[in-house]
Amino acid sequence: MIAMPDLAGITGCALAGILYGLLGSFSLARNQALLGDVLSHAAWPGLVLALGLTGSRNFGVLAIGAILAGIAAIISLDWLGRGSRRIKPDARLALILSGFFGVGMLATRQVQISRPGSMGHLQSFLFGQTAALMWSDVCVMGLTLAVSITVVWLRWRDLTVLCFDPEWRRTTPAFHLSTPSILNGILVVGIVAGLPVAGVVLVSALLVCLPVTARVFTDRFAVGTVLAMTFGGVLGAISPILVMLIESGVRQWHGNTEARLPTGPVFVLTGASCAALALAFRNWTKKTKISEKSTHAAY
Amino acid sequence: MSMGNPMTPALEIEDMTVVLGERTALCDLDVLVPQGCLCAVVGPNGAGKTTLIRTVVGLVQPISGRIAVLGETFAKTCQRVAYVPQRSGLDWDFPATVQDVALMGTHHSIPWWKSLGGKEKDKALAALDAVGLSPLRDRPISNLSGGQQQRVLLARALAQEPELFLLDEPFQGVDAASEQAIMATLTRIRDAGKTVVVVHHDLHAVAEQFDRVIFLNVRKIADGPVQLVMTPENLKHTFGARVGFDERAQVAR
Repeated sequence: MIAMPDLAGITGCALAGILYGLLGSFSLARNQALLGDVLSHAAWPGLVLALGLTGSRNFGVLAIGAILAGIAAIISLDWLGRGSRRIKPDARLALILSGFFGVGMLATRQVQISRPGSMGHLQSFLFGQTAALMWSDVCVMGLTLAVSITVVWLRWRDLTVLCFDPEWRRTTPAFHLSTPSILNGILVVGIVAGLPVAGVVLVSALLVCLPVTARVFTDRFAVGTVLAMTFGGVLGAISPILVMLIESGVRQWHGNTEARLPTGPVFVLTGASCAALALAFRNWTKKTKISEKSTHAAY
Repeated sequence: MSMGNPMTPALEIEDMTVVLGERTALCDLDVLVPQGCLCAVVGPNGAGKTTLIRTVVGLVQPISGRIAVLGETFAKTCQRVAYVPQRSGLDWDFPATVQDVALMGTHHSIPWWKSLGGKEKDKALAALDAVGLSPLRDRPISNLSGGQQQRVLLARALAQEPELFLLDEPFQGVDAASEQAIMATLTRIRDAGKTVVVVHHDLHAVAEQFDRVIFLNVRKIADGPVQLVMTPENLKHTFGARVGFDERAQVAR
């Protein structure tokens, strides 16, 4: 007997997948694939402190703390990049990631003492726990996704120029001063909104896997972004069902009723497998394309 | 778009000093480029040629001095100026086609809530045509040679329909066919009454094809019409004592 997987879990995973496909496309295009990892780890102390201060387990309340911490991380990254003796981008990212996460771990210790029993709840944000996903969390994700898509739609042209040639963009009259901040804003909010699904540690895998897979199939940024969102949605919806099938299979053949698979890592692994397959596919087709290219190289 | 007074200099810089980190990149610079000429900026590596262009378009802030672009501050005239960056600074793996990049030059001509229409596409295509790239308009930019990449960037600048073009090292690592195509385009732009300022390495090409030249080595060594300022003394002061015109030109090639 196969139990129907939780509908909130499936919807949540699918929405998070679409969201990460969208945000990841921009991170990858700006050569900032690691920024997502930094922001998710930087959100951790905010989440823990929000729980410690308010005692609330409401995701909305915790998300505000996480978003504030994410914004602080963005501002610190920017600040470290200024001045004459500036720190190189990779070192900056490493510094902020470990610094913020370190504060988060310290805070976790304190919150464990002051609010016993909250560790389990916090852990679901560290590694993701789809089973604990509530419809209110799903609504937060849906709303974030809607806002992100609207913003990207309205600023599409400026965003593509920002990804391709940010310096030239600043010399043209068409640019909007606010676009980079808006993009960073939806990145922070989107990452936090998806934390219940993938968790702090695994978010960045999805942010990279989905656009990398999409990139193999297209040379257009718009098509790639939509493809990444589609992959994210489909894989997100499939993962909880896959988990359900594997769990019931294990139960049937081994009689092990305690078998539990975490959905977040399964989601990440399916994403990573897709990316690996897509890259292998590209390398395989490249060999046939080389002869075609040389005939076109006349210009 | 108004052309403005043709007597206004395209570029006028007074007493400009630029410091990058702890290094003085440009010192007490005075430069004047009249409209309607083809002007080269030459100097050894680290002379501040790139910094000069980047300061004019507002990417670097000078610590002192005054810059007038077409008679006004760059913030006021940026609509009439096109900057062509060094192609090596860009990510050519970005998923876009040749036409997509040329279209970027038309973005400022329409408000952000409207989508690109036929008029913008025509403009972009005309620009690609001018640099000889219209047959490649649907090609992904990751599949271009260095010369083709440079021509795409020039097409994007053409699509901006500016009066002043500022090009940073457009001939760096470019094949002979592309070099000819770019030079022909720049000459046509000049013949249409517009101004072109180019950071250049090839002194022979400058002597043969340009109207004016600015010799730069942190300070300005000389600037003026090529036939007047292309002298052994100026070359010596700019590039160092032992380098003569012919030797230098060969090194530059």
